Amino acid sequence: MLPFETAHQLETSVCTIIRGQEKVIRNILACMAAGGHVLLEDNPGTGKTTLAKAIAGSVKQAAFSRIQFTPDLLPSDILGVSILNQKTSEFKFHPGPVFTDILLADEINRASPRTQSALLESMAEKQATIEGTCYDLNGLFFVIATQNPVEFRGTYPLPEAQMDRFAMQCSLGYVTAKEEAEILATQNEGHPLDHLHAVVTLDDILELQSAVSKVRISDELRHYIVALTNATRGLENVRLSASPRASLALMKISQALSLFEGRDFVTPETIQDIAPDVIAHRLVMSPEAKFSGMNGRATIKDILEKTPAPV
Amino acid sequence: MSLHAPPRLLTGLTLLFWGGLTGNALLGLMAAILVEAKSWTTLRWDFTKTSYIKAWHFSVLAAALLSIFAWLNGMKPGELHTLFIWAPLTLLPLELAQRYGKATSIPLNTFSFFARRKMKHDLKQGYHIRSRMINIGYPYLAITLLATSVASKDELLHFISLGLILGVCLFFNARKNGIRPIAWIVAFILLIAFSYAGHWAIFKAYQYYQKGLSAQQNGRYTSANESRTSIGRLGKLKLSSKIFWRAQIKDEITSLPLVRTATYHHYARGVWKYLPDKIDPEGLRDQDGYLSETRLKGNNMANNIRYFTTHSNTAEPNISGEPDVKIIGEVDSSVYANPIPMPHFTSGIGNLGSENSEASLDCNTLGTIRITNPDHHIISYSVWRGNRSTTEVDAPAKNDLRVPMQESPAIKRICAQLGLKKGMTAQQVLIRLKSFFSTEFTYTTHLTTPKLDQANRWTAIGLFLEKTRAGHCEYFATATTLILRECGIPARYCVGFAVNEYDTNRNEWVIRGKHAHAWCRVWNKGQWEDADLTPPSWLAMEQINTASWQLKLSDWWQLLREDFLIWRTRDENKMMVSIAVITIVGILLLWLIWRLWKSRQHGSNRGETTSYLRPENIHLTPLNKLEPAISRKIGPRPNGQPLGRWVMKLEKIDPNLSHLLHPLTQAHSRLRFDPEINQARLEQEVSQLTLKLKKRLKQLPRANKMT
Repeated sequence: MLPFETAHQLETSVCTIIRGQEKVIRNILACMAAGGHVLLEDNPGTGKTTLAKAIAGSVKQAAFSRIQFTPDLLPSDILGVSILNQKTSEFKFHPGPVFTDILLADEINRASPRTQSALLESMAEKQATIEGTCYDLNGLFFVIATQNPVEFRGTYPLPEAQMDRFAMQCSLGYVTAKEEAEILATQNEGHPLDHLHAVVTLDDILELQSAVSKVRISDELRHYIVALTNATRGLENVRLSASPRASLALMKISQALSLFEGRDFVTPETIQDIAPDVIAHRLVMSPEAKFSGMNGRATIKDILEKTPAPV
Repeated sequence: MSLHAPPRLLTGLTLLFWGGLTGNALLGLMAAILVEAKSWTTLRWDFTKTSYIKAWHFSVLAAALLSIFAWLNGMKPGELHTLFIWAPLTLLPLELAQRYGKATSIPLNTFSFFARRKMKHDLKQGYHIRSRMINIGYPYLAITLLATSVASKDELLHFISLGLILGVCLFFNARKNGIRPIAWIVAFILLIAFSYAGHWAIFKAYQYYQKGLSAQQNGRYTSANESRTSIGRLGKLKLSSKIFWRAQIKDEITSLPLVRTATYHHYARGVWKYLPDKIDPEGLRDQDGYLSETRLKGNNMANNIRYFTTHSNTAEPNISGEPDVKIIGEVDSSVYANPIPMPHFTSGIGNLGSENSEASLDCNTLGTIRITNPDHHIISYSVWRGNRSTTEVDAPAKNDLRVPMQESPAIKRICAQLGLKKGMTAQQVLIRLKSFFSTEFTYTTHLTTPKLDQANRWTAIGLFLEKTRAGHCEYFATATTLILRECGIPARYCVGFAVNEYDTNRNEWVIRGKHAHAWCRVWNKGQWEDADLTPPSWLAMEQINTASWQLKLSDWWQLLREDFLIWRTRDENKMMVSIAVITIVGILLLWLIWRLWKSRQHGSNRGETTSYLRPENIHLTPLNKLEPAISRKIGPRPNGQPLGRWVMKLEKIDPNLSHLLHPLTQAHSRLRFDPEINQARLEQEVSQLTLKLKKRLKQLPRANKMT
């Protein structure tokens, strides 16, 4: 299957399950195609788990696992543990939920930093180190982590450095009344997930991932991306600004998104569309700016308005 | 010039300190929050030089308004320095303008009209002058601390807090240059200790000086209970020609010779005192011998007339009609109770205005009426008179016959010399004394009694009668009282004013400081009567040149102020004045807030525009060249908007264009941003589409100014 077709099929398949979120779904899928991980900050019940399941269900042979993060969750609960086999008197490794293709880390900020970092290592390096042995997480490894923006009691907010590991942060938000009514209609008799058929294979996805890097981007746009991230560095309102990793992620996701939009090259419009999702969560605003109601997204929008766009 | 702002929170802390010690804690807190909120928000204003000048004018205006307000409330010019307490608030606009402005300092010539004019002139002449810049953070801090010290009551607390604030100040400044903390702390403690020692020494020196001063000066003093006379002191008696009281008299009464302020009956060492008699526990008077209006039986405060009777069973005096005398004047606001002047035979007092519940009138057994805690220190009241005195206790007591032991021999000798003895009537004694005083004595305010010092004041009256035979009214009145007592006639000493200056323009009697007088009350035929034996020449000697323009001016000013204050304190006018003041201040404030809100900015991201590094030899497409033509239809392109997205706006004006716009923008993007493309073929496509668009553009209406 051609990469364009894979992207299209995948998008259509997920959109039949999740109504009214076409734009966010495309961004998330683009993030997956770019090999990044996504952090969803959303209220409960907006369809985060369904989204993850829909993505997993659309891909043939893709393994899906879900971890509900709690304060007493241990790294071994994620990575796996070796258990002594009484008969053979040998330790046998039982792989944890991290050995999967699509992983939903629900309410990631409820676990202790130690547990969080176990997952984050896997995310960054695509490998898991357990009892000194390094296991490769081959194939597709796509993490959708979720965070509840309302409740903060008893949570461990992700450290700034680890926020940087997520390629993108976005939120599904609430759909319109009409779309919500449609959701009710489709779920009248059973869940649409039950009727979901896989439309692409795991190999198709891997091919898509390799196709992303072949999407052309001009020198001028590379400079434009650098100018956007660079602009966050001189601001007095921003305590921690965007890193080169942010520039890299912005480029990759723009490439992937271009592919989903049916193009084999990147345009400035694509960069502008995705920039707030990719950069905003990496910024740490100064307390004064927070007090005045400024946040990362507003800052990025401000930068986009002020930086002369390539015409 | 300091260009550094004080460290964070220091100004707020100082303002809190100011609020705490001056008793304006809430105002101090509000000012502190306003000043320190700078660090919590990024709201900033782009103030120009004129804005700072306006802020300065605003501060000056606030100070002027404050002075006017203080004047309206009856503050005297001598107390104006106490207004400095409010300096932190009046200068707040300027400090806030600096804090919330983007500039870190303001031009020094903001404060001087002449400096600004000179600079303007210099610029005109071609000199390029840059004004000196100043950060007023530290000056403001210093002014706040000074204002605190003007008002501070608790010396030790003030000193400790001041030390702390100074410590923070110095520490932050020293830290910039690198310091050794222990050495710094030792130095600071030494500094505090030395300054405390200096402070203490100055305070002691001041106290010593004050003590010497009060011993030297005569310390004349009059209250309802005590009158420290100038008897036995040296030097010239100085009396003010300022107007103390004014009296408007009903037409039927032709003159009002003496108005009595206070009466006393115990004399020793030049001091006349009122000592309360033994109080009847069932009676109406309190332990100091005062009869309060609130304790009167059936008091008729409803008609706003208060009266005093000597006995609780006396019938209420029948008061009706116009008052006999109306008196206006000023009482000493620093004293708890002020005796007020009353004409003789006073039976009722009214029209005191809306005095608060703590304000009250009371009257002692000698008929001295005093006002306690008046709302305003300018008071006006009306007096109704009866045909006999109803404020004095009728029967004389033991105190009215006492002659001090030290004066007794001299008094006895004079009585013997004049042939005065017990059993004579008051009339007889007074006639003899009067001729004695007018023939043998002279009136003088030069107190040149020889060899008089503190110790000899016990016998000052004896020396006056036997040796010097010159003195002022206090001598004459005291001598008369003591001689009458020696003859067995009860007598009292009283002070007040002689009313003899009539202002024809205003139709009222004027009572000045120079008209202050002392005389005695004598028990004659079952009632108390005035007896004034001071040689009548005294009035001529105390004559004032009422024609002098200085006096006229100061009188005019004083009377204007008093009349205004009395007008203002009337209930019907009070409301009007406060509504007017609140409206004006409210409108000004709203206007200012609106102006500020309109011109606010987020200090945040509006820095310089960052632009990306644009590679050379960019190949622009024909659509790029059409941009000026399109902008005439949909307005100029925002700087941050890519061309493709901007051009799509045309779709809104003419939906039919969409079939042309979509392929055009796509082709443009590909030509422009796809690095590996067959340019020649695509360029042709773009130029064809652009040409079509150009034709269609001509049919579209021009942009209105919305974009």
